[in-house]
Amino acid sequence: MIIVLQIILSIVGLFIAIFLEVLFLILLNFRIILPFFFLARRRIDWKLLLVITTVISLILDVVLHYRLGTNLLLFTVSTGVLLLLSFIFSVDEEGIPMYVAIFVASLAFYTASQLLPSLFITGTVGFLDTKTFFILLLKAIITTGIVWLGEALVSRFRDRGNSKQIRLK
Amino acid sequence: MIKRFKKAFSFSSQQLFFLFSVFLILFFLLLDSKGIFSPVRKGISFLFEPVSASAGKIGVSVKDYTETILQISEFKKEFNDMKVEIYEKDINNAYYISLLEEKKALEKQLSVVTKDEKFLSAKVVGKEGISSFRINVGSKDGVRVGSVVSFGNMLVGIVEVVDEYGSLVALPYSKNSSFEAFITPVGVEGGVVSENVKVLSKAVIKGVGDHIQIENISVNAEIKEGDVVVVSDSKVGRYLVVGKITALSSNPAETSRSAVVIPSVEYSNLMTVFVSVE
Repeated sequence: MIIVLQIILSIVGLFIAIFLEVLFLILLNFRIILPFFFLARRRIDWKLLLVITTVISLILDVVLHYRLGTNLLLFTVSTGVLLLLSFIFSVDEEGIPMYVAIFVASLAFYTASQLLPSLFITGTVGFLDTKTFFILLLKAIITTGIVWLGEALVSRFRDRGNSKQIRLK
Repeated sequence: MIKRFKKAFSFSSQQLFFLFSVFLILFFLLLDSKGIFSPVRKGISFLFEPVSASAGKIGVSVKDYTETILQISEFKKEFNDMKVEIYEKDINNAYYISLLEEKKALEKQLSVVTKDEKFLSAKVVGKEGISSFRINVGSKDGVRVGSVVSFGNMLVGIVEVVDEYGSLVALPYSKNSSFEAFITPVGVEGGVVSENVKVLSKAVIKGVGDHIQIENISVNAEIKEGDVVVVSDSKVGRYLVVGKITALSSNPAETSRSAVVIPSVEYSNLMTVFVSVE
């Protein structure tokens, strides 16, 4: 019964996620799913995250008329950047280095989303000038801000949950 | 030994995610380029395109609304510019309308004027009640008290007061105005009034403030409503139409008949008139 409920909730959640993603994409040309990906990265098992990311990416590829795998590539680019930065400093522990890493990964995601989709469709990379790059920078900053807010909210809920628990020493 | 080997080659969850993702990307990109995933695309499209379309529709309307609000100062400026442009066009239009009216008035005047008559074109610049108006020509232009003001073959009034740059014209409505006139049948209104016109009766017209009264009409004359009243007064010096007869009295006890004259020209609509100068 719980599994059925979970499946129904997942499907509904999927529809809502796609709806919000397209809505924000048209309204602000902003990928609202990216901050959620960064938030989920530290909390969900990588296999489940891979399945969710793949499914959402495939759906987005179809509704945005991209080649299948394009959105997954964008998420992978940002993951790759985080992976590279993890060799320099810790990207998993909350703090300034993590947010710097998220900012760089977001910037990589948006830069790739500017260049790659048209490469797979028409064979030429997308247009990118200084002005566009500054807009991408702004989007990366907003994404980092949302992640920071999300982390703050999650930790607050977690603390509140802990406060209700009885501690046994 | 095995433990050390495992530790040396173990992957973090991030690395595993990355590796599998790369594999999946290659898999999807290659197979989709061959069209193998066409049924998958169709299925996803069937399920999610309506959601995407709804989101897109809402997004576009919200975006349009937001853009309109953000550009409101620009719209305001544009609106003001357009208002100024419309005013300018109105001014130009009014100028052309006045030119056209002047042209028509001149044409009408030229069709009735004789060679020995001199006329001065004047503009009506203000009304003084119902019985007089001001014109923009005065003594400097040769206008004198008693100068006749006409429009084509129609009497407009007599100049009552003259200043250097303007004059006051008393219309036939004015209580001061009184003219000898004759009544003639319909049919001469459009043309020039000449000596050969059939005179039905002599009469006197006088202004009573809000209308023109005609009196001393012969009781034996076959006058009917709609007959034309023509001024034949020495003050005017030529024949000019005033208007048509209406409200003709029909009392058999009267020694003469009276009526009301409806002016042929609407004095309040006049813009250009002609003042005869000697």
